[in-house]
Amino acid sequence: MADIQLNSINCFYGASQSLFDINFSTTTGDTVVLLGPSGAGKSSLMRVFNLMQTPVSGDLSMGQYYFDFTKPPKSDDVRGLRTEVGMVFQQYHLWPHFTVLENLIEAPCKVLKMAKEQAIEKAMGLIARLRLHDLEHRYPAQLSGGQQQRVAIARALMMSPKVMLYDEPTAALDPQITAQFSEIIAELSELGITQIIVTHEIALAEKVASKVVYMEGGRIIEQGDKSILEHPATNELKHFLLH
Amino acid sequence: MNAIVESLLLASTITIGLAVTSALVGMVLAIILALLESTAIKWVNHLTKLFIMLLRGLPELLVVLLVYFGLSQLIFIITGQFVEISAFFCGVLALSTIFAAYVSQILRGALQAISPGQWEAGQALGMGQLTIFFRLILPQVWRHALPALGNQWLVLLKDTALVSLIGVNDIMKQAQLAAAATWEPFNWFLAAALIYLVITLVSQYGLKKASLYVTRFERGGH
Repeated sequence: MADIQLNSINCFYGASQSLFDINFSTTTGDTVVLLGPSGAGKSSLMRVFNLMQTPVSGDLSMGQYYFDFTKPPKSDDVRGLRTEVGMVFQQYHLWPHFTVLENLIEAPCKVLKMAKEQAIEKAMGLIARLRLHDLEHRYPAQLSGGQQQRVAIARALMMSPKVMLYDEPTAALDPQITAQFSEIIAELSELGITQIIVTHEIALAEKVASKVVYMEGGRIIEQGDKSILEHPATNELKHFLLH
Repeated sequence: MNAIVESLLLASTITIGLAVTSALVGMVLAIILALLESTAIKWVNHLTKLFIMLLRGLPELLVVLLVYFGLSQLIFIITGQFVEISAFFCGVLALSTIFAAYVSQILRGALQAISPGQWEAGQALGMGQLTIFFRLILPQVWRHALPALGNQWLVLLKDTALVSLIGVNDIMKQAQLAAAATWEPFNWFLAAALIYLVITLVSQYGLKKASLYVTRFERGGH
């Protein structure tokens, strides 16, 4: 189970405040799209979910984990949380000196202490499920953008996460690969994985979201189910949808 | 004559042993220095910078002599006893420290060339900093650092000649002894030059192979 709740989150990036009084909750299996223009604070908010960015105030609860940000989080808890929250970066950040298979088995073997044979078996299953057949011994530089993204998704899924985060997942992909990405999101949603996607592409939100959060200037302007894309309540979201 | 040639060949193994040991010890020191210089703890950072600046600012020969004479002096001050330290050990200590001072700068530059996203990808999966460094970052550092490291290795190889002055029986020392014994300095120094060249050429071949290995993942094709 990975119900997530954020209360009164405030965050700084250097000297400037990036998030203002964020309140958010979602239930297991939701696909949440964080929508908004560049600089809205979407990526900052997403990085709070796996504590790649630590807020200065507020609290986060996710499954068994609870963090009160008025106190510095314990590093063991942070690492524990991260094993349950997979993240797919915009640039994928695959490790270039590892093959696809090595990219997949590295974290389970080192962090979860999974036996190498077991990790390989699991990796081969994901490689098949994500249509990466015959690519397991290639290096990331030998893959297309879409293939690299699927390897990044597989790498995160190797940890059996309860939550998946995606930062601008379709920004560099063509429409056909974007459609494949939407299919993967739908498949993972059926498995009960909570997914949070940062994007500024309305079409992607319409396709995959069960919940939409619209942000501007580090604040949540409007949030609700997908219907807010058809019937926005705020002028800001109306304006964003028109452009 | 044969005895002299034999001792020159034996001296070659001492030179190679000295260079390889100094490179290995120096590499470990260089990694530690590069990490200390990159740390956020300011006093550690400044102290490391000062240490590196001093070493890079002194002639190599002076460092060799300071280590050789200074180490026994230091032990005498601390323990009150005179301990004779092997010239080979002092040679390794001096050469590896000099090597580390230069290589730490090469490694620091190579570390900075790696995208912070590589660290983040490990952190996001719950990996610890040390695991990330040794498993994910360091293997990528070599591809950026290897050309400069290759140069530094050749400099080290030639710097080994300096330890002949503290009594290490290396190629240079042996060539000097042979020159004095036979009154044929040119021939023996030429022989020493040829041995250095052979070692250098073999090194360059090894470096080329190493370069192909550390960049294997960059090449296209399947």
